This record gives sequence, C-alpha cells and structure tokens, in this order.
Amino acid sequence: MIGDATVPLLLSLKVAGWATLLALVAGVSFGYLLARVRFFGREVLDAALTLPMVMPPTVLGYYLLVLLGKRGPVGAWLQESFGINLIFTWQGAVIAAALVAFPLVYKAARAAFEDIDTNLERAGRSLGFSEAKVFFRVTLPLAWHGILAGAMLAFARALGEFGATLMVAGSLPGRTQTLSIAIYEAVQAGDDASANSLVIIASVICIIVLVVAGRVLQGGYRRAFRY
Amino acid sequence: MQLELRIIKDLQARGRHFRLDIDMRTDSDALVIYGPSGAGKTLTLQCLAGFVAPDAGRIAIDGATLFEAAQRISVPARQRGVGYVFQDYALFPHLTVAGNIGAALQQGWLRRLDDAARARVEDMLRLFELQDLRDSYPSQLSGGQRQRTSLARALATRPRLLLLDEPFAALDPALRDRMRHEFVELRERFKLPMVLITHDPADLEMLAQELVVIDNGRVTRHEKAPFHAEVPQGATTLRVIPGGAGSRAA
Repeated sequence: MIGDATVPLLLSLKVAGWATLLALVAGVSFGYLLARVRFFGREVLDAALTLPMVMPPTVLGYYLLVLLGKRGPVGAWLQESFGINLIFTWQGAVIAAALVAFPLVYKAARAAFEDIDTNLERAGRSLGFSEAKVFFRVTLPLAWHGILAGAMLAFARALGEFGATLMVAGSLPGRTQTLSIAIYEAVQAGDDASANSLVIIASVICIIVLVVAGRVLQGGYRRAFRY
Repeated sequence: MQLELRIIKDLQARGRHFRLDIDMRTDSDALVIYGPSGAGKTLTLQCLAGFVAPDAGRIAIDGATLFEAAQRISVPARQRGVGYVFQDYALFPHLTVAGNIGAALQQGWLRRLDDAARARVEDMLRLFELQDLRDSYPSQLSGGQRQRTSLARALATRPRLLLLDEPFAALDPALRDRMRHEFVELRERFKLPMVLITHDPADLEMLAQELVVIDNGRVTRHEKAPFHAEVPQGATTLRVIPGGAGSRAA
C-alpha cells in the first residue's frame, strides 16, 4: 500500500524541490530589484508578479500550455533550438509549480529586503565593501530568515500543486503523476485504500514542513538579530 | 587636512522642499558642524561620505577630488577612504564584535582573515577594551560598548578622515561625558582628521577646533577656536533640541 505511494511521493518531492529552487532564485532577484530600485511602473510590475498567487491555477496552466506548447512562442523556440519539449514531462510540472509558488518567495524577499536598515549597507560601503560584498555579507544574511520562511511556504505550495501541473504535465503514472494528482485519480477510480494512504502521507509531510519552518524561524539564529 | 565642500542638493518630500546649499573650506583637523535638527547636517556628511550624490558642486580632500558635478566625477563611497560612525552605530547585527571590526579586512567576501588582518583586529579590540566582548553580538552590548565597536570598526581600515554623525546622542547623559573624554584621547593617539556633526553644545566645547553652523541648509557661521563665549547658546539658530532626541536631516 505504501509501496504504491513511493513513486508519486518521490516525484512530488523532486518537482517541489526544483520548483522551490527556481522560485527562490527568481523571487530573491525580483524582490531585491523592486525593494532597492525605483523605476517607472514598479508597482504595476509588483502586481503582475503577485498575480500567480490569486489567479486560478487552471488559468495559469492554460497560459503555460499556450506559451510552452508545440505551437506556442516559447515552446516552438525550445523545440527548434534545443529539441526540448516541456509539455507532459516532469520538467513541465516543475515550471508550473514554480510559477504558482513564485509570489510567496518574491513577496517575502521584497519585504525582508525593505526591512533592512539602509545604513547597514552604507556602513559596508564606507568600509570599502564592493557592491557584491555588500549584498552577500550584509543584505542577504539579514534578509535570509524572511526569505527562508517564504521558501518553506513555496515548497509546501509546490508540493500541493494540482491545477496548473495537471494542465501542463498531465497525469502519467510514474512520470508526471504527483502525489496530489495520484490522490485525485485514486478517488476517481474508487480506490479508497490508495487514496487513504496517499492522503495521510500528504498530511504528514505538510505538518513536517510547518514544524521545520517554525523551528527555523524561532531558532537562535533569529534571536541574534534582535536589538 | 584640507577640505573643500561645495554642495547643492534639492530634496522633495511630501510637498516639502529642502535645499542644501553649502560652500566652505577648512584646513582644520577637528571640524564640528553644528545646527538644529533638520538643518542638513547629516545630509552634508552623507554627501561627503559618498552615500548621497549632490546635484551640483565639488568635494575634495587634500586636493583629491571626490565629487565634481561639472566633470561628472563621483568617487564611490568604498574608494573614498572615509570612515563613518553612524548615529545609531549601524553595527552588523549578524556579526560578533570581532566580526564587525574584521569585516572590512577580508580580501574577498568569502575569504578568511590573513595574519595581518587578524593582528589588526586584536589591536583594535585591545585599544577599545573590547577583548572580553569579542564573541558578543551587537544586541548584547551596552550603548557605550556599541559606540566603541563602531569606532573600532571604522578605524580598523585606517581611513584618512573620520566622519561622526551625532556620536554621543544615543548615549545616556552620564555616559556621554565619559565617552567624550575617551574620544579626545583616541583622537590624540590616531592623529586622524575628523568632521563631527552635533546639536549638543557640550560637543563643541570639547571637540571643536573649528566650528561651522548650519541652519536651514546654509552656513550661517564659520570660525576657528577659541569661539566667542556666546556662540553656543547665543544665536537663535543654535536652539538645542530638548531631550537630545535623535536628529535626522530632512
């Protein structure tokens, strides 16, 4: 019974892990850009970047399908240039989950960067730090616990992703059938035994993520930051 | 040290307009810029440090141009060799006392300190009596200890000029006087030129060789010690903000 679950479980962890990594890199970059640089249309861009959080996942999935499909602008280019097809692959599921999880990292990162006293960055500059050193020695370490909290939520969100993933990657057992999709399929097929074990596994993972996130946020690391 | 400061900077915030229009030269090694809150003292210091770019003007130390609007010269803050002590000290909260002092002495942003740098950190810890606190974090320090750490951090890089933004304002009054004495001793030892801004007349008497008074963005007075007795409290521009609460320039 648990054996049936290992394949979708491992696939879910793989997809959520890569999706969180992608969302982390993009979220920290955009978060830093919008926190530090003033430019025309900044808040419009902010709204656009937050959109995946409020839009129905199926709508996002549809957009991705249009964009990444064989006749889509990005999909056709990927196919011609590199011979890559993302539709109905686990990599496609990663893209879908990353898009849905992205705003959670981005919002947390932007808030964390905006929270930093700019005098700390100035202090670094007056001490002769290069801009790269200011970022990696001052800005990022101070923003890190906020970013990490966002990344935890993003991982949980990516792990539970259903709508966009189903649209882009389908439900191919062993290839793109993640835990949440496997649950749906099990229920549809009337396989209550499988559904029960899958649901329990999903619940346990979510609780573990929340406990770990709580530990990270309340640990001694954060206490050291308080004045 | 020769210092040339010509700064024009317009600030616009919530419908209020502020113009900083400073034009002064000094060859003093202990210049105190004095004025009420919001007079433009901190902004002047930030322009000198390279944190803020003036709209027009020229900034030069000993003939070396740090900023010149006409020629589009603006040396980045990290290359100015100017130490800065912030009003709230701006210690890196995630680094220990030793880490703060040594932060500037690392070559890259990942590499460890070499022997010379480590010796320098030890020297500064000893000089500022911070040896026992080397592994403490800024949140665990008292006001005076924070200030010492902040001075040690700025001096560890051997700057050619030290800027101090209301360095005693955040301390309680009893401590303030002791830290002033410590600071005077320190200045003798390092023989380092400094520019200090303050709205506290007590800082003037003890620390200034030359006095510049700024009010509403302009220099209203500029003279060398000894100052006329009535200077600190006399002019209306020298109102002292009661309570010594933090003053930040507009």
